[in-house]
Amino acid sequence: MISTLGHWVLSLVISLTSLAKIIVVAFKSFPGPLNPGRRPIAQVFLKQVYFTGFESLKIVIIISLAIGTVLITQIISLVGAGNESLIGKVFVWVVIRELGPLLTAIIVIARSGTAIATELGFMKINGEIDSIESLGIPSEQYLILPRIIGVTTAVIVLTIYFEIFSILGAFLVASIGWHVSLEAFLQGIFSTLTVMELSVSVTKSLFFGLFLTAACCRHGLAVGKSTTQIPQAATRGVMQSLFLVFILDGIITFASLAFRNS
Amino acid sequence: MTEMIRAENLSLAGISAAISFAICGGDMIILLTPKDEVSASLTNLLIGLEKPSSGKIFLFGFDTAARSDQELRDARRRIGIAYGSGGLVSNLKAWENLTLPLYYHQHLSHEEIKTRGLSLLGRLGYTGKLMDLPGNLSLSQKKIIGVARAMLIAPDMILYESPVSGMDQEEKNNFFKIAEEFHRENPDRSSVFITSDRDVVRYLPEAVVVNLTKGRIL
Repeated sequence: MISTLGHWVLSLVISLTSLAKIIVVAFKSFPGPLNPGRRPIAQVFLKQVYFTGFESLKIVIIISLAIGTVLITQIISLVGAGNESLIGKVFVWVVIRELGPLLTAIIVIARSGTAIATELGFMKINGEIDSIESLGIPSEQYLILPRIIGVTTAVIVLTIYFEIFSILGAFLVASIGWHVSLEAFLQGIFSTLTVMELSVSVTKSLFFGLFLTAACCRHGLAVGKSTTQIPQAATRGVMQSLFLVFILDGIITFASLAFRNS
Repeated sequence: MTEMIRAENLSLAGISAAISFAICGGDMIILLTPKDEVSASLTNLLIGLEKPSSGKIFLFGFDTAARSDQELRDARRRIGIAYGSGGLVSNLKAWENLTLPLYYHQHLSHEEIKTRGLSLLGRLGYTGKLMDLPGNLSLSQKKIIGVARAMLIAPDMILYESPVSGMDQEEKNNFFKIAEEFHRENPDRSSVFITSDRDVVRYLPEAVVVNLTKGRIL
């Protein structure tokens, strides 16, 4: 039992370290201010932000509105309609601290994580990575760096949208169902919403974005010569990303709790 | 003349004997291989994308196996490579593929890149769409874009891998005419045709032919 646990922890550490290495190598290749390569890299970045951020916005808004309405119903059932301060506190704890970053990351993994792993796997099999390298272009600089920055930016921004729209969905239900005024509702939210809460949310989004992209890039680029490996790479990328997101969520939550208590 | 590439006792799958050859600035050489797969593999070996299992390759005087990734990339920026399949990036449009190395490595304005690109495509007789993804182009159109991309950077050496497979007679004639003109533009430029198609020899009477199927040493 102990040896199995030790093996599991060790493999987790190795996995996180190898992904951290990919992130570091990508950021080390960041082009200097006079490097003309910034133009094509910026194009890849903007495309990634468009596909991951802009095109996911609709689904994020729908899910966040639904989550907001469901949560507020449960919270009001639990604490009663007149206790706006407690409603706000529970809502901020659940949505801003946990569900916002976590569900946004899951949506991005399902939508863009698979796309990244599949696209890179296809490029590898087609010899396009070699073709890019043959032009003297570092693949980590042109393919990985803009994807990591693009997806991470999108995850952070989508999380903010998620949180805003879940608050909006919650207010609509509270207002219609229990006649809670906007002023009382917002006071309940903002009395709990501190810089610390927002920092935890942004920190989670940042790490989720970095590691989920690195995992999907790694599995995409690990494809060999057979096309059957592409869906396998996509599945592995998604599974590892999901796993890491939950592990990182636990680590950051624990670290923030320790920070608060110190 | 400056030595560009030297292969020493190189082993290649599909060729029984070890091969050695040297390519100097100004040379026009046809490397005849037994099949297209060998041409592709040899191209990757010559530019350091693959390491030789035995033997050595010296690119601009340095052993490719001993050079760092960055040094190899810097060396590749002096080489234009026209792949048999075109070697285009599937998620970039034809025009973006063509201009990628110029945007990446040179401080040129959009206007200048546009002028250079369009003039070269006109010279190569490209009539396809520029804003289409490679998946919507024919093989010969992909090849022309690949050749144009290799020529656009005005390289010291240009490698053509399986250059005319999939081209019709008129496209072949035009291609060899342009390739010869491009070779003569710079007396120090070397042009290397890596192919299994013996017909290429007929189109390039001035070129030195190295028959790698016999492991011949120059």
